[in-house]
Amino acid sequence: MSNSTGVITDDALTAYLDGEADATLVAQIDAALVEDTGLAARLEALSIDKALLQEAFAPDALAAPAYAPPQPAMQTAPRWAFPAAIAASFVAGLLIMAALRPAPTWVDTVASYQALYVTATLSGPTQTPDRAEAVLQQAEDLLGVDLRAATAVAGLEFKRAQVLAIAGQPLIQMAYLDENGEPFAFCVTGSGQAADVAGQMMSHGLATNAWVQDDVGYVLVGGTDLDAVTALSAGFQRQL
Amino acid sequence: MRKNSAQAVVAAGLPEVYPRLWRFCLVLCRNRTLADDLAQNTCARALEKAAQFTPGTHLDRWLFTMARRLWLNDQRASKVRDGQGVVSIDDAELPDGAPGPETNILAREVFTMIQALPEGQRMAALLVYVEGQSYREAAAILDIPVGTVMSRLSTVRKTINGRMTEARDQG
Repeated sequence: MSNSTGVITDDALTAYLDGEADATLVAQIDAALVEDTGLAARLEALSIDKALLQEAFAPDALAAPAYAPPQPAMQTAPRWAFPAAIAASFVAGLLIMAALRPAPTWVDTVASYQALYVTATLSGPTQTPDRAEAVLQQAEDLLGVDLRAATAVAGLEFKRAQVLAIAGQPLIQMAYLDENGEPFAFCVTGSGQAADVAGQMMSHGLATNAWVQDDVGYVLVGGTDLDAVTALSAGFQRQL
Repeated sequence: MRKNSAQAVVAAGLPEVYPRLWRFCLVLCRNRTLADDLAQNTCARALEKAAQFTPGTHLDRWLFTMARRLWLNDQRASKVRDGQGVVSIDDAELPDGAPGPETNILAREVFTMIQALPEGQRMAALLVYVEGQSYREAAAILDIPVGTVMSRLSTVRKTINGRMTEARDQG
């Protein structure tokens, strides 16, 4: 063991400061500190204010959210979405059995997700413009379509945009509330399935209207009125 | 029987640990929305895998380890999915979720400094300096040797010390 500072590394000094050094190392550093003022300066250069760090990362300071039990396969629905989910899957089950429909389309998948949305899902603060812009830039990179105009569509208040995926392909979801607080979603994907669906239909108890442009699939889903959803879709088609 | 009791322990423990789990996710993802999703996904996975949890051990460490693995898997999957044309969230977005204005300005600066560090360094700093985990515990959560934790923290200390000195001199 040498008391030359040359062998005391910054890693060792860090362990010393963190109370993680073993007794031998502590003794070595303590001894070296007596003789070597340079070592004290090195320790000083490694000092940090841990209390400040703890203050900076206090859950309260960060406004950390409270726990809400997760929903299977649906990460953002609050706990009271359960009855809606059960109802929606029951309705969906009946519809599928009745129609003996083959595999669900991408619009069905979107509608099944949207069926779990209630007003309160979206009634919190609207996504900041910076964050929305970041997501929409990602959307442009992923799908080659500029969706920025869809943040300002007549009759719907834009709440947030996020990147999801369907069958391994990116899916952009933009969420809205209408004047009555009814949740709507505008979804866009370049998935191969997208071209399979167009026109209005009910899915999972929700009105949907889908269209395809340049191999990109679009759908607006929300409420139970097919004509209303189609009318609102026209706003998107004009803007984009 | 054992399975049920482990499940009950996990379910009962989640609300208390959740704000710290979410914070772990925020430091990892550097984005509030992603942190929300990752924390929720981690809870869903934890409830699914609750039988693997040993009651009496530390639920927080178990959840942190799980969150980190989910994040890594997700990163890998998105690389495969997106090919090379997409900028990762890490590069595209500035650190997000900083404390509000009621928090001490120096503390807010420290938040930004830590969140600007490379992932390995900021995770080590969170676990040891904020969470109060030992080097050994942090190493286990991050799946790295203890020596690596030490050397990352040494780098964190140098960086933060230098910037704090600068910030104070300017202020």
